Amino acid sequence: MATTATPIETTPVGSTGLPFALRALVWGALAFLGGSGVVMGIRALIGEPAFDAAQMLTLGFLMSVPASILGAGAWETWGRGWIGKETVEYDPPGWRQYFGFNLDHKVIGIQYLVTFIIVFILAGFVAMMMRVELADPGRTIVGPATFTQYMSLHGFLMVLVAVTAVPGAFGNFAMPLMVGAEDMAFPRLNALSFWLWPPAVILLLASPLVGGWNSGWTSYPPLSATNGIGQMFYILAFIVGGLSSIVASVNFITTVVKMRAKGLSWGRVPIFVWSILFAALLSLFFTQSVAVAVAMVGIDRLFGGAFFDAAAGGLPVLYQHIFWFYSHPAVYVMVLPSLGAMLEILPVFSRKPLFGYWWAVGGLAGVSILSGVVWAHHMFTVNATSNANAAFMFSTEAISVPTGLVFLAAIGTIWRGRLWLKPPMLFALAVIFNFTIGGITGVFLSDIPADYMLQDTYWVVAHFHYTIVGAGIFGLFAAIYYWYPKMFGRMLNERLSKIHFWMMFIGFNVTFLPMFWLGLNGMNRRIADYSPELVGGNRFVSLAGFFLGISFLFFLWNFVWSWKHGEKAPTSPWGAKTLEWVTTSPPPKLNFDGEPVVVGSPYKFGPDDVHGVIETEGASA
Amino acid sequence: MTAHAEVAGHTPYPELQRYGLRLFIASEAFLFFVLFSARFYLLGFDKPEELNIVLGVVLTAILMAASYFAHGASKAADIGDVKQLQTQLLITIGLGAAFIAIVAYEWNAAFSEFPMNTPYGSMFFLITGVHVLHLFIGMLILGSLVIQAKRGTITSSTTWKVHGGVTYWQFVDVVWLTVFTVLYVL
Repeated sequence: MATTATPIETTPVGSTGLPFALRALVWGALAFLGGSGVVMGIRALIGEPAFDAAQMLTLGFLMSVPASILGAGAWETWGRGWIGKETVEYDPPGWRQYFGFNLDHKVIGIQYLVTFIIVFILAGFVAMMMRVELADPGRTIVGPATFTQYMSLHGFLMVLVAVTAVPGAFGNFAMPLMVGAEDMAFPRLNALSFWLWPPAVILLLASPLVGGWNSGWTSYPPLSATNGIGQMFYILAFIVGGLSSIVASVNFITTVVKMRAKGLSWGRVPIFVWSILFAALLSLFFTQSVAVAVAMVGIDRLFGGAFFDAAAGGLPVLYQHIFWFYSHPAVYVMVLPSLGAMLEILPVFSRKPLFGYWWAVGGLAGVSILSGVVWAHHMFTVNATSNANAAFMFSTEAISVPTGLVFLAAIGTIWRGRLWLKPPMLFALAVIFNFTIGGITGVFLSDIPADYMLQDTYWVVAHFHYTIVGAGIFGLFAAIYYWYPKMFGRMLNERLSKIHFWMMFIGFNVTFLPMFWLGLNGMNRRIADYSPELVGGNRFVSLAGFFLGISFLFFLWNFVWSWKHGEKAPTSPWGAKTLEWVTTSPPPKLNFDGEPVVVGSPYKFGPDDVHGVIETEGASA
Repeated sequence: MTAHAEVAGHTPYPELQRYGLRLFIASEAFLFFVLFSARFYLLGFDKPEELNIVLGVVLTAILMAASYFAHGASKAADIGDVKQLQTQLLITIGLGAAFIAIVAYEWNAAFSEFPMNTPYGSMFFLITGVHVLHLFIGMLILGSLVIQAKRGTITSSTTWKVHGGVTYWQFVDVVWLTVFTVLYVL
């Protein structure tokens, strides 16, 4: 039984006639029609033409989100309580548990993981289409207008994956286990934070039907305030996804701060938990600002507002400030949990304590704090005359100091360790390698004169793919390979895992390293065309990109096949000591058959060293 | 089914709930901080002559009174006076409705005085709109508490529901003070 903090009667739900996932769709669709109908009614009342697609979409979607969540089972589990009725919990056996408003953090972690793997694969497919277009200069398959839609869709979907996948999947699945809690602090809020995503993702995947949007994932006005209706899809999805991040952050922080097991003092908290805590603090505060930014664009579009209309006295640069005030910290929301996963994995497979534990924690904290004061380095060419640029250059370059502490901990840990090169370790080592390149090339961009040259070139594309993919997504895969046995109780096939690793690692580097060269030679980002002398480099990048794309087929096959047919996983296949490896694989409903008590460091691997034990009450049970 | 506290000696539930609510309120405060920063970035201290400050003062008074009655609801929940709890909550909700009605009247005037297609107009409608949305959600929460009180699901062990709802409500009231300062006074 998934734990909930208030007493909830646990009878199976089945009185509604429809399976929950289907009911979510039906209720969502009905609410959408209702919302757009209300808009038509109001417009008719005030004497406007009744039909306004953008306004109807907005109210329709905003009403369909709560309706679909209630339809997914939140009505029985939660909503009935609001009107003073008994609530019942959604908890069917087998695969059906993943298709409803389930309160178990382990189920929610898997829901997040599978959802965002699907989004990742689809967005990767869009990237393949972009590389086909870029294999030749001029029009190749779709031409510039469609290419910019691909670019926007790929960028935004991948940003969502990067922001959400590691905290959503492993912050939910692993973190409560690691702190020895039976569940998250607020199980229903946790389910809510997941179920906000399906409407947002479906909306984005439907956006090509209306021609998508063409202003990229950053969507600067004035373009984003004047282009087609597809832009509204982006705005609405961002606001709903942002709400999910805020709700999830409240849950993560409360769980880490208030629900740690007996004996789990701050100095014994696994480093991955620290990284989730810092990432959650960042999204708790900064996500609000991106909601403001895109909502302002929405108001300009829907109601003829003047925020970004320079002719009416608005200031388009305002958007960039507010947008980056969130979106720079957001890149650390993407990367910190992956760095945390890396630091979690390195000691286990080096059989050595984490080097400089408090320095690593301090490094993560320092990165988090500084990330709030660097946003305008995305705007050096906008503020070209401003002395503030120099301040932002300084603060940006200062971030390399706490980042260096994280590297110090990583390299100090593997230094003279006995490295056990299992798939999670390979990915963790790849994070060190890739993030070194991503970090160093970032220093060029934070340097104002260099940035004037490199702004909006493929140098930027290569740099952020090295950080977000090279660290964020490699960290995601490190975490998947590390925790998969605990999640599903089965081992992944090691041969397929290693084929995936080497193809992805080589494919990634040969795809993105040449992009630095392309950028230095003047290739612009976000444009379907380029000057003919760059054709060799682009063909090479396209071919390498397809090779990288194919590597994920091995992962997918392995992931799906092992779910049913993998070798049974032991309690602690990697010899790790943290609490999630003390309970069975997969863990029981309440995570531990007893009370977990922490007695030592998580990173000591001697034969007599113990991090935590499970105390059962009396032998009579 | 037991609370976490009984299983493993964790923080008991009402305290968890309070902690989570404080985090959420901190996050919401940041939302208004960003909105106010945008107001000053876009407009400096400019504001239109037509702004009806008397109405602003009336709105402020209404929400201060609402806060007082919300506090009364909290007190009533503590001593287990369900009747009084419902009365106080309904008065609070009524004051919230009056507030929204006056804002609607204000908006009606604003449409012609500083319309949406001016920077101040956009800012005014955005900030007051976001605030009214929060107030409306607060009314839904308090309304849910009234129903629960009527059906008897608010007991001495679940008064945290009332405290949580009232805390959120009073936060929204305090936010109005800053909205009033930023839009009407400065």
